[in-house]
Amino acid sequence: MIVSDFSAQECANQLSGSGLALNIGPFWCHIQSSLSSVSSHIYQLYPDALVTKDREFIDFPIKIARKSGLRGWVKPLAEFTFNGDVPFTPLSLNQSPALAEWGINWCVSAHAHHYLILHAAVVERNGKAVIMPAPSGSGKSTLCTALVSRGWRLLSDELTLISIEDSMLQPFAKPMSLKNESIQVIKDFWPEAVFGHLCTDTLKGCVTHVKPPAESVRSTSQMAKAAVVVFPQYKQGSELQLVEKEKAYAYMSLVENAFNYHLLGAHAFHALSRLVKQSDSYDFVYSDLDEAIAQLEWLVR
Amino acid sequence: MSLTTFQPLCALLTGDVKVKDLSLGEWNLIVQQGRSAHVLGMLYSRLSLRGQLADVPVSVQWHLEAASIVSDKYLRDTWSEIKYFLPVFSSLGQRLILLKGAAYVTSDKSCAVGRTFSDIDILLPKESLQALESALQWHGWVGTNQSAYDQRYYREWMHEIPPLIHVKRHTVIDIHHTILPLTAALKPVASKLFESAQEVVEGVWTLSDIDILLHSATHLFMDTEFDHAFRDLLDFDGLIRSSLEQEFDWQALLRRGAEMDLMPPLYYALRYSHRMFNTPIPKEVLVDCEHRWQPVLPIRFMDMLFDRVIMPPHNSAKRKGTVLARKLLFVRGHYLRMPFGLLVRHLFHKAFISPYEKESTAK
Repeated sequence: MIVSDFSAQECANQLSGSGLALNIGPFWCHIQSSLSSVSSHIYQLYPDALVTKDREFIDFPIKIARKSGLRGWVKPLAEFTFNGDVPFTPLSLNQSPALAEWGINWCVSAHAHHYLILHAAVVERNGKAVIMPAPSGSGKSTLCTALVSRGWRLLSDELTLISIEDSMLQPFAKPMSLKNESIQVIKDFWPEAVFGHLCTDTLKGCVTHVKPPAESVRSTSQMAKAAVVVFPQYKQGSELQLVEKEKAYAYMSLVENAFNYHLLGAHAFHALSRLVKQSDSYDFVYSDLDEAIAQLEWLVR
Repeated sequence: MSLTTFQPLCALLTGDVKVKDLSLGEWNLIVQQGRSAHVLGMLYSRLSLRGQLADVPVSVQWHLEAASIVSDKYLRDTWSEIKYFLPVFSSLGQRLILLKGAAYVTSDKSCAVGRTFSDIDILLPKESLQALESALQWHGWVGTNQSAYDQRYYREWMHEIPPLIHVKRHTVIDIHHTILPLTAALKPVASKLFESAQEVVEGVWTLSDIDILLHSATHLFMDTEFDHAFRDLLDFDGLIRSSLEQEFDWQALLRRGAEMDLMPPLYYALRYSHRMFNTPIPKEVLVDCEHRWQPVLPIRFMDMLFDRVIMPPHNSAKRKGTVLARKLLFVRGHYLRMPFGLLVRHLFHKAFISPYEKESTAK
């Protein structure tokens, strides 16, 4: 059963009742929430995700609820609860879809230490995965969404999960997050894209999410092999630049973008060495999305 | 009853139930409760030791593996910190005596494999504190920024100095000079702890096995907060079980408890470890212990309080009165740490003066 087998109302009723078990990548999240913004977010942006009412074993039990208390009268807040704990400060109620997405990402990056986890987008074409690690504001999510709009398979726009056994990449396809100016850029570039609720005034500015293609969601059990590491940088008005980098540079830059490199110790060293050995690495400056996509398609031809 | 909702986790930790006999639904609760109690790493190592990891359902396995990767990191970090400590301690002519989590894992206690802990606890004679503090400063450990009142609170009344944090590695150490606040009604004699300390690895010392048991009981049952009570009680259970692997003199434990003025925490630890983890404690030992010391309030009442706070803070442990029990034991903990007059003064300062001090430093 997938989310779109429900009606919007059934989906909301399930979530506010006993909750729903939702499959995201290799994980099952049990989500309980009576907030309509959360249920419509899930209904619109997770239509192809597997879902079940009665799953015996759950990886991440999650609750997103309106925070009770006096302050709620002045400014209603939404609170994310994982396994009975509240890991972050509550956000304003209209930001609950963003809270849900960040919360799920946190569940993975804080617990799934059987993967080396990079803060990086990862997409795949012709059996070749391209990893794009980059700090916020470098245009990584925009480029990732643009590639996905042209038929690349989405593994993740945020978290690259590298198996410590064999360095294969585990897909974790969920809605892609866009911020500020990039929202309009993608609306122009990909008019058919399905957008979620616009969360304004978050820590990162305006944030919204884009529905991933059904094929990407359906193929989460199909691991991908890393072939290219690209460090993207959006620079307005600049020429396209692709500069091949040596392996040591790629390795150290990936370490800087890892969530749990030091925690994993030798596991991380072996997984990352293997990955860098099998991949070519580039610094990549772009301003035009069409040009950038053509260049990356050439890399995985 | 929440005691029974924790039964599968407890029985799995102690080996009273086999992995094969658990349903996937039971595993769901075990992983959630185990995460909440910070014992998944210990669960991994215990199942591994019993050769039962392969029987764990596939969907559950990664939770235990990931927890063991985290606990391996703690162990690596602890040993690497110890390598920094050793030259400092030897230059002062002091032994490095570890307490609590760091002591359990470095002395290779099988029950502690996979345990995680937030800081490294060290025991040092009171008269050497100042020399150690200034020596550690040269190596990058600095005091946490605390008010003059906090400094005085720790230095005059407590059994430890304010935590030190390393400026680069951000590791935290707690330096103790005894195991209970100086102001507490119970008065263990610190010098006796030093006399019977044992060397577990070259240059690394812990308390004697019996004193480790007494300290484990003391910091659990004489404290004001019970956030890690489940795991701490599991430590006590594991320490008893590993003592029993050799000839264990129960009378020596009770004698030492009496000698160190620590019968109350020992009484509670034996009682609740037996209740919770079915620790193999002979009936006559429990009875003997009761003869030596019993709580002033009826034990059924204490059970009502402790049963509630020993559970990890997971939804499945929610029972009526848990919040009240925590509050009452918080007050009890403070009462045990300080005489009444001093306690009133301390709470008054914390409630009415500290908030303004913080405000003025923030400005």
